[in-house]
Amino acid sequence: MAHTTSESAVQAATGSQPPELVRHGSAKGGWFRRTGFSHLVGILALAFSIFPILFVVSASLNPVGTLSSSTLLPREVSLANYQTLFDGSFPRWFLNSLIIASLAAGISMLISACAAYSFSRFRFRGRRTGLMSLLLVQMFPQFLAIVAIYLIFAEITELWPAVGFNTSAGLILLYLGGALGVNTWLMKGFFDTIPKDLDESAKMDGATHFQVFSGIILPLVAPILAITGLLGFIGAINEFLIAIIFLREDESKTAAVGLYGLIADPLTKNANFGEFSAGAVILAVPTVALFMYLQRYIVGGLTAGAVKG
Amino acid sequence: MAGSTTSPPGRKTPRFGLGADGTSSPLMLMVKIVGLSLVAAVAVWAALPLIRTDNWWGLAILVGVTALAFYVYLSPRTVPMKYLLPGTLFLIAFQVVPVVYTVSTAFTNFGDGHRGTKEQAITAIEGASVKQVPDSEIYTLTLATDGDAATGDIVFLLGEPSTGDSYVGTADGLEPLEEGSFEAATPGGKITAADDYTVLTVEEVNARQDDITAFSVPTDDGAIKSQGLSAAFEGAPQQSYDEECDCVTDATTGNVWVADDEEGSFVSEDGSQRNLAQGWKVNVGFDNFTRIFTDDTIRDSLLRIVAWNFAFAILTVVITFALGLLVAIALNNPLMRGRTLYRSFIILPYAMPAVAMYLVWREMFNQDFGLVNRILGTDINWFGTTPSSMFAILLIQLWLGYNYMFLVITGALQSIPSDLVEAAGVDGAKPFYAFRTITFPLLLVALAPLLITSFAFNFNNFAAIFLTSRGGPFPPDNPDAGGTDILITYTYRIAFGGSGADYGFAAAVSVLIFLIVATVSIVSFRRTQVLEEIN
Amino acid sequence: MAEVVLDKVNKQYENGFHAVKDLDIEIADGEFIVLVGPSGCGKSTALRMIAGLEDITSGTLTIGDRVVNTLASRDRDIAMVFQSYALYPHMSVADNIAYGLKLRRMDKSEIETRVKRAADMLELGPLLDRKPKQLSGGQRQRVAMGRAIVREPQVFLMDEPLSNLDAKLRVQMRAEIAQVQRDLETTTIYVTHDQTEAMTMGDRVALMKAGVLQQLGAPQHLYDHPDNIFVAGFIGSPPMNMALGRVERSDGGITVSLGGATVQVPASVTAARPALASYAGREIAVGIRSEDMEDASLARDAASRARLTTSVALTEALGSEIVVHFPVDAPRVVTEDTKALEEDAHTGDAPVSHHGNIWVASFSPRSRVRHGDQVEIAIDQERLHFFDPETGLAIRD
Repeated sequence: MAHTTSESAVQAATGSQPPELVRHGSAKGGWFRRTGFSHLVGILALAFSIFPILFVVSASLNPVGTLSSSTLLPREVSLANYQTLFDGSFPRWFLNSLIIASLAAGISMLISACAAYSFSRFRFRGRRTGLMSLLLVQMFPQFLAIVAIYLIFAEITELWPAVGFNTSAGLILLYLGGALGVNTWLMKGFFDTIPKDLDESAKMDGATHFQVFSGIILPLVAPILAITGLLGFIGAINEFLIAIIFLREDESKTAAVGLYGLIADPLTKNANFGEFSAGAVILAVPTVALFMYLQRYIVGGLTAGAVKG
Repeated sequence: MAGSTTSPPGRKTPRFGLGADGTSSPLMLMVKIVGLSLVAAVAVWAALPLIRTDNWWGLAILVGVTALAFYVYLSPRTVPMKYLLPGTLFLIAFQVVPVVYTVSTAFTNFGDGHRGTKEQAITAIEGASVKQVPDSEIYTLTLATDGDAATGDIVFLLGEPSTGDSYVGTADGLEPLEEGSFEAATPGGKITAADDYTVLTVEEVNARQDDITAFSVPTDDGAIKSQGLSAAFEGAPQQSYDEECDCVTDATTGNVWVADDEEGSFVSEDGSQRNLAQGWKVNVGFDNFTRIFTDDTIRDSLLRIVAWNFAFAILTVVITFALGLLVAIALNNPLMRGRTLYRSFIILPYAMPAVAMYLVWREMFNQDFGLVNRILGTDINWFGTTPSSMFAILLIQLWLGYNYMFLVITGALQSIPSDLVEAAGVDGAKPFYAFRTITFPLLLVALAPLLITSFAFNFNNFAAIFLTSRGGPFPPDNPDAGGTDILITYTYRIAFGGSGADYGFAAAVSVLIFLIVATVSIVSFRRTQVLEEIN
Repeated sequence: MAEVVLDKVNKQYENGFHAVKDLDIEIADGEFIVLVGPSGCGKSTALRMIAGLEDITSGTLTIGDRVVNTLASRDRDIAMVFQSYALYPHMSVADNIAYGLKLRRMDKSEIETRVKRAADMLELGPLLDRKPKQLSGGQRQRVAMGRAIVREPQVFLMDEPLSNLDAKLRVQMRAEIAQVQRDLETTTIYVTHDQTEAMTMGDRVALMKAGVLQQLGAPQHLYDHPDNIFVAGFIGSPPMNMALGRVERSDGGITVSLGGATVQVPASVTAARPALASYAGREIAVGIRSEDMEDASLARDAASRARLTTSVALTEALGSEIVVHFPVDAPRVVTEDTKALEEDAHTGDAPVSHHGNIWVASFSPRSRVRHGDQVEIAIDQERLHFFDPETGLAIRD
């Protein structure tokens, strides 16, 4: 059937009416057996999930701004930490993070969607080899080669300072190196579920290979694109190991590197904790917002990824 | 890669050009033109520095890649390649090349003291041993770099007060500065700016202190070395290389160090002195790997690290999966109200920036001011002992990871056909029995690839260790291998840690990590037969 | 409108599989031709080569006055209806239909006019804003048709367009498609594995087996004059009854013994098939259609008919006729053709007996025979078919 696409797969997984899989008691059972157990587990999980978040939020509002005076619930509320934060380099770091993460995630999403289309829809010499090598290369995480990357970029910085150390552009390029390996397999799995008849039908209707890609395939895989985009964004915001080696100048740091620096020194970390917390809270805003916005797709996308490998 | 075999055949007359693959809309043609123009522009921009530095190999590769791009996007027969090229180029440049570089580095002694060629090592040794001789010339010095302040080569901008001349001193020697290309307070005085060089600020000088100390400008009589930040002197080397004996001799003490081309070092002739710190890069074959397995200290700590590395990765997967499963089952109760609300809050940690949250957790476990000790009323130095440190790390991992598992399991639970469980119920199975025999195995099958991926990710979860325990606590006798170190943090410390970089050895450990992860992944993927999906 | 000519067209895959062998078909302008055959016979491959979805290994394909071998699908001016309909799930019905026109950057107003015209023709008007997901199977089928006709192409290609519909709807859509085609007079190539569709829809039928064209002609011609055992067995439902017989020369004529029974071959038949005589003393494959047999007690001029006496294994009363299954004691015909037919039957729904040789006859509804009865069956000797048991070819001259 032509409509058996990722869309329905995603909806199946996110369906608002899940089948009753596990019954914890019959309707005759007591309240606890019916929903009490669920609520108990839910409340405990919820408490576990939010207490560190609560702590960091209240620490960010703590006017004293030290770790030793931070509590789980704020005793006094002030925006002093945010004030300090914004007077410092943080706005610059935050902007760097947003630029690097959105560009790296966006471009790598496009790149892997293109590659997935190629692997899913065309048969060409080297296709199998290509897929296998991707699987292999992806097992060698980029940061295992951190030494080599450092040395290579030392050379690049000499030749082309515009994409060398301490530049967002250089870091983005570096992140794009991992684009193919990370998402191509996941996306190819999704592309494969879209019937080839649709491509052929569009070809008969007069579409070129690119029109098939942009007009038929991409709209149908929009959910998985959203997910890989989001995961890529979160990943890039959180990327730390490469960034901390790559970005040494204060101006060029990302929020993750900058915040780390705030409490890296054991002598000053107690005093800087409030400012650090404020930064952590602000850094969380874009990812949490995106996450909530795309939540519907995420559940389905992750699951489909799991099933498809 | 050649053209496809099942995609439609080419045009009536396979041509070459912008519209050769059937592109006909004006917009798309414009996009193509702009895209290819950009490629050409970038290529020209990238070519200039290569030409300036006589890097002909680099230029050839650049020209080749650009030509390939033009060919692929103008030919009608390379359709699959049109979609693969950008990703492939990035992959090769920033993933494959570093990997190859890493593997080749693993067979060298590359690292601090073994960076360059033997000639460079000799120059450096002689330069470093320069001592000021009486009545030698004193120059006014300005520290600068050729290029970027943080990474460019160090140069000395020198003024000679006695003559009023100004020079630039590089690793290649001394050259006069052209009139008008620099600014100086007085002729032969301190230079404040020069056209082709970046004058360093005090902070920048501090950042490059080691490079500056090691730097000297070779001259006919010896070399020029810095003396503080604004003076330099010309002196004669105390240690000199003699080609006859292939050795370095110290003029004052008479000690002799003989070159060992196997090790890339100058070795004390009679064993009375330490080897010279400055050596050169040589191929050492499998030495780095045999060192891993034969050096007692390394082997013992490495065994411990590998064991903990596996335990860490497996336990992380197991506990996050277990808690995720429990919560998913509890919340997958259709009678329960407010499930969406619960879910939104429970998965919140997944959306939080992990780097920041690792640090927050680290501080929550702080012995003196941490929330955990305050709430529990204890005074535990969580990261002070190995077991408590491991416990703290796993708790943090649980917090960061169970919500992801919860999400995934919820999705998988809902995709398991309900009639299977119902059928088991009809057959008389109790709920738990039905779960154990039907739901759980199906879940495992569906989620196996994901659990493997999760294992592979956590096996190299640098941030989880580096941002919390930093690998500690460290035993007093071995400051390189901490109690909670995993391979990747250990590698990082070898390469970038305080006690001198040993890139060759770090690369060897990297290769080892790769072999472990690849083996585990391939074996387990085989078993889940995901590889059979390639068709 | 255009004629389509396949001249020695071949398709051989890289793995060596030869899917279509030397296919020669000339399709006249405006003709409705059906490519039929069991699955894997190459009919879909042939269609996909015409569509431009598969490369042509060798031979020439002409549409109108252009050789289109290497032309991309979009430049061949053809439209195709897929088995799965291949409707774009993210587009409304109207957008689905208009997609091909938009790709050709046609005027907005012209697109609207054409979409409306097509929608009216197929009664899709009220559905234009819906998504394919919200349509029933039959409605989807119509949208797929609409998408093809709105393009006003030179040729329609249809790849088993009805096989996803239930039986009732299939009959209805069969008529509709035939009607649309007659109204538009567009050359149409229609692929199906269903011989009923082939018989009812096509001006001509091309029957294929294992990549080779078996017979090409009007449906009734294939039914009445099958070129070989395969055609005889494939066309018609129930399939033609077959048995091995022995040709004997008797005084003044030829007889064929079928097990215990001996059938006199009429002089008119032997005159039309002189080659029959050369089979004297040899085995021959004899075929007879179910409607050419009758309950002897009811048959017209029963006296002159050859008879078989047997016991009834099964009867199916259909109202207009009674279908009687009965064993004959003559051996079954086993050739490459019958093997291919049997393979097809396993995937299709034609009943095949593995126990002895069971024939099927259609009796007049007045017949009273029941399961287990001994019955005398009258055979219309004029309507016997004869095939060479080795080659499977019809004995004609």
